[in-house]
Amino acid sequence: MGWQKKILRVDLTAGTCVAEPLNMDWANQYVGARGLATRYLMEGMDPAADALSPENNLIFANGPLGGTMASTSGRYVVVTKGPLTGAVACSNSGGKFGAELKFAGYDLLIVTGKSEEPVYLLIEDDDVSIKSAAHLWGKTVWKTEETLKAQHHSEDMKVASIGVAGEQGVYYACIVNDLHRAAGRSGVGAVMGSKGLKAIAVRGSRGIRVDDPKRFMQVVKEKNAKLWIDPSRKGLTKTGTLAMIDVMQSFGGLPTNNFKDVQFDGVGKINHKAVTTKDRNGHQNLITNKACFGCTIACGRIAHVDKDHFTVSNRKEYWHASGGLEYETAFAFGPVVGVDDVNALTFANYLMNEHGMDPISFGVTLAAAMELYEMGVLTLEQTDGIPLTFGNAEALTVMAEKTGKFEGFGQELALGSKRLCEKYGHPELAMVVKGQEFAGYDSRAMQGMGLGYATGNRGACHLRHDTFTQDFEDIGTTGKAEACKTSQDDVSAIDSVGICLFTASAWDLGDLADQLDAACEGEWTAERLRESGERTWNLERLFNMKAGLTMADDTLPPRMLNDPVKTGTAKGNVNELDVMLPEYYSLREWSESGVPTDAVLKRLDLGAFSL
Amino acid sequence: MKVKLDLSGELDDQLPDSAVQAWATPDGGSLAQLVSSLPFADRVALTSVNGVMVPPDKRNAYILNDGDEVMMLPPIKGG
Amino acid sequence: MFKSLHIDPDKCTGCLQCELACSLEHTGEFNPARSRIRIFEFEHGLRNVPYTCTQCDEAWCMQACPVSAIDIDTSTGAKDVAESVCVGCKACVSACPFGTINFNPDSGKVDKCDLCGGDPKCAEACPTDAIIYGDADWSGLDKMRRSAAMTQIGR
Repeated sequence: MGWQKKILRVDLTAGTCVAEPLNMDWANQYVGARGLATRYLMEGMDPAADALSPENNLIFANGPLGGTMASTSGRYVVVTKGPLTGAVACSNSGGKFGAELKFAGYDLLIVTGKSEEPVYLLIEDDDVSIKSAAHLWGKTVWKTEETLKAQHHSEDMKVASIGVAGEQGVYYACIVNDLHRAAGRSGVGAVMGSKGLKAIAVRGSRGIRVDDPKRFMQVVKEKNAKLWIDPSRKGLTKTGTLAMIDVMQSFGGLPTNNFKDVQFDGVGKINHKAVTTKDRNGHQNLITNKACFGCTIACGRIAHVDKDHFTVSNRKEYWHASGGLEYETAFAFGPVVGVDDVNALTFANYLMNEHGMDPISFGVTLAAAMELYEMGVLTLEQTDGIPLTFGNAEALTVMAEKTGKFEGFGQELALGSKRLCEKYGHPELAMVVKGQEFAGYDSRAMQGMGLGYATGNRGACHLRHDTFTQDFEDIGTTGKAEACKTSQDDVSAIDSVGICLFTASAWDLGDLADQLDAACEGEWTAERLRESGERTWNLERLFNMKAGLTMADDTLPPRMLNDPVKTGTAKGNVNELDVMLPEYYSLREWSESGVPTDAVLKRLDLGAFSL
Repeated sequence: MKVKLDLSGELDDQLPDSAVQAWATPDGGSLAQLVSSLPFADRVALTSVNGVMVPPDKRNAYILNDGDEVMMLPPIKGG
Repeated sequence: MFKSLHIDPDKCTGCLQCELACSLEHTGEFNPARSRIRIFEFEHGLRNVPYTCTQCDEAWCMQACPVSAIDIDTSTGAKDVAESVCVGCKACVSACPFGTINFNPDSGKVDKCDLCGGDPKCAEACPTDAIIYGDADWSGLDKMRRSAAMTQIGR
């Protein structure tokens, strides 16, 4: 058990909702969540189809441990073809929505087709219906969730929805659940919008069984104890990921002013000490921490904006607490756009959640626009009279809102860095891989991170591999290809079990296998999980190649490859992708042009997908 | 000699402020010696001196000077 | 020593481990919808409040039951529902001022916290000690101490 062994297919063109048994052969090969959903995606669509066409599939999936007492078991993924990248998208979210979908009885929800009229999906165990969302279209995520709960007289209902950004096809629109948890990257929210699907509302009361409850609880207790004493876990509980900003500053890898620099003077105003200290008005940004479903880490931040701050002083509706800054949001609204006003950063974060947009892609896109503005390519007239200068906090919050509402210059920022910079004749200023914006780590200071960005199946991403330790200990390229490849496979496996990556400092694949083994039929080992992770990675690669991507897409912007980093530990370095990439392909058993060989496909039982 | 400690992440309240401002360490001592003298040595993952990262395998060879600013962080991953 | 559940919402992160543990104990499945302790979330997750039966002495549910299906477990003080006697009339649900006794559509009877016979799984599962099972005599003592600490007199 572990799985509910049932999936739900919703065809919005035909208006049908049908449950069917989970394909257990695939579950055994791909485990769940990320891997399993990718397998279903491969079956369900032509990878070459347009991401915003009805042919695209939008899959919500949780893993076999999802909804159990295994810590962090509330993670779910959204797998689809991403409009931002044209590659496979797999966005991971927490909160309570994913587990609720499983409690309604479904391991996966596959949405296909397109509704002519705006709709939402109502799932109450076996009762599934497609309902008119005429009254929700045009509403924010927060208003949508509030309206649905009131309409169905259920505060317990879990809702995942899109804002206007998703409706209007902002290329990095995300899907937000539980008000401030998001399947954030690659534009999965725009896919949902293209299908006319505004929201999914779920209530579930179908229990999840495990094979051997007594042994499962013994294992869970042991693993939770191991997680509890882990220093990294303690740090996450106390400071969230925000403590990373001091590390990146001192290391010299904190992307600043659209990646022109790697250290940011204002870091002391936005770091974890700043958010836990009262400012001169007596306001403290951070209030408390908050857990996702089943999570014993609780790294989530709950913060509030100072009522007297210019962003909200006349807008009482934003005086409440909500999701606070984490490392990536602090980077994306802070150093990369040069802003050091912690209240502005926090308000921008509110707006991302309220309107449903990926903070990383928004921030890095705004950074590119700021560079274009400072070069004189964009003028005050084009930017609605707002000077897009690095460090302008008002530009950050006003543009965040305009993009969320798809108004004025926000419609240009909605394009994402790649399309925006191409449109204005400077493609080299887009800090992207495969069209997706970098996370908050400079790839000249961190060679392994650069290789991970370049080879990431969903474009630039810091959560598809884990070479942090190697990169901090050695600024060179030695061993990075292997560390990148191995960790990509491991992370794929963790994402497929449906557990949070933040357990990885305490738990290895063996710890996950022990929990799976007690919960599910069959024998689960670390080796089996690692092989499944490698299978998932290769399947994602095959999807991308069938979608038309090639080795030419495994690259970094010229700034990373040619312009030496000016300060910090790695001063003078560029990213040496040309050194690492051939070694990486060879370790992957891919051809020199990055195509998986028949040998590796056969070993991973992927022969049927050979190109 | 005395060095200034900058304790980040979950380490930030491990020592009183006075100790953090001026932590005594033997003259000519290494960064490794300093780390191991702390009550939370096992939780120090990353170190930097005067803003420059010093990886664990270089801590033995790194000789500290009076007045150095030493930052320490627990194990951490980004998100 | 007589024990009771002490709940401190300030420590609750809203992780729902307690709901999972409760449902597993009572149904053999992980199913928060069937948990007898529930976490309520307010203000975008700012406040998370665990709530369950307080085992009040002169229990309204017990007094309302027309078939005397609710009895006191003398070892724990818990008010227990005898499923074989309960007729599922929900009179107790109406009578309880706290809403902590509920109809279970799976069984057709009512469910409430029974303190797991003296070993409450919610308290065992809580990672932050927001729920502890301790001496009933001292149920308000920690809160008193906190209030006392806030007073400026006495130094």
